[in-house]
Amino acid sequence: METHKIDQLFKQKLDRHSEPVSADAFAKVQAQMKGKKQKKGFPWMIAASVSILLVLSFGLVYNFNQAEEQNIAKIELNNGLISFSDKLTVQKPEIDEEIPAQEAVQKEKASKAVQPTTPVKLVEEDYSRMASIEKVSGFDADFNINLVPELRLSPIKHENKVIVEIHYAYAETKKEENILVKSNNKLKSLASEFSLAELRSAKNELFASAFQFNKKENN
Amino acid sequence: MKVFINKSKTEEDLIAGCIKQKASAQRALFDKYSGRMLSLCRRYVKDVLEAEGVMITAFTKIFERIDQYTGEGNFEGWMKRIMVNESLQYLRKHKNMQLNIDIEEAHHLPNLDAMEDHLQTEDLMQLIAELPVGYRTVFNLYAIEGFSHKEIAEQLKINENTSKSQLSRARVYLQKRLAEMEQEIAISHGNS
Repeated sequence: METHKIDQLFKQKLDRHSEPVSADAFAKVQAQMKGKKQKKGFPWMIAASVSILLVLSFGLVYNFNQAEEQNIAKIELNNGLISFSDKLTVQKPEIDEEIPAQEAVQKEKASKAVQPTTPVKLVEEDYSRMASIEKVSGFDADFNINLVPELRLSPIKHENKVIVEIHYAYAETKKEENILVKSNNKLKSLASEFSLAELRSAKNELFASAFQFNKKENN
Repeated sequence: MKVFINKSKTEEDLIAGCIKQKASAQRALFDKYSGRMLSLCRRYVKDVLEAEGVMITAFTKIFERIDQYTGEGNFEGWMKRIMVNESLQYLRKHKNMQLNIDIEEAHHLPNLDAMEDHLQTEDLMQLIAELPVGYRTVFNLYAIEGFSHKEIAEQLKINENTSKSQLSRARVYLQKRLAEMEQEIAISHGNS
């Protein structure tokens, strides 16, 4: 067939046809191969540099946080000011007992439920039911920054009294918050659930017991 | 006095050297085949510089994958397949695969046997370059590389019938152009 002859003609003449190649063609081949090899190494270099950057930045952030922690000196509570040293060990909390007139009425009402006693007495009477303290054996002298007490509202209520449980636990990664900051924040968050008077009395009880517990341990 | 004897290396030696990524073996292989491979690429990609670029990229792939050559079949055939694939990839990338261009039929059929001696390969290369890219690709793949219509259809992602019609149209065009050339040859012979 004529058509096949065309195929044959072209195949015969062109199949082994050769054309002059540029002098630098092989150099270009080598350059392309070299470029590809370098590209293969590229992601590893990126991964390495990114990981180094991450480690450095984590280190910086960690140091910054530590520096910030040591600067905390004053924490304002709802109706008082507690000052303590830069050393992160809690000193005697001084609670301002002055209460505005309106709140005083509420305080009186609440005091019917919670007997206004001295901190020592209160702890002696109500210690067992007011606070359940876990892992006491692991509790060192003073407030250790590694032992972060977590305040939880007890599900059990006694005659309208607010019972707050203190759960002590070793905090390996919770160094960012001071004990009192954390306690105060927790109390603030509880304020939405309970009346202010109940909360205040609970807070007073809590600090009194904490202080007393501290004293006991020192003795 | 030292006498350097240039031992001609066998193809197996060259391949073994290339597997070991020896630059001298790569150079020898390149020198041996690059002219033919450039000609192949130019049948698909008209522009010489572009065709050479395609050939260079294909050679880098050959050197990178040479350990995948199992030794079965013709080594040159294996290289040619990589060249063809690279050329098709270039055409796909540049999306100039026009498949439907009508070509007028030749008024008379040329006597190819008589013409064969007078035809230069460059003339035939020129005729192929004149073909629309769709016809050219199918004609190259079928007539010169020896692919079947089924294989062409898979490669170009076209219908098998489209491949057949492209081939017959390419042949019609080439016949017409060869007939014209025959007349030119007859005139020049008549004059001389």
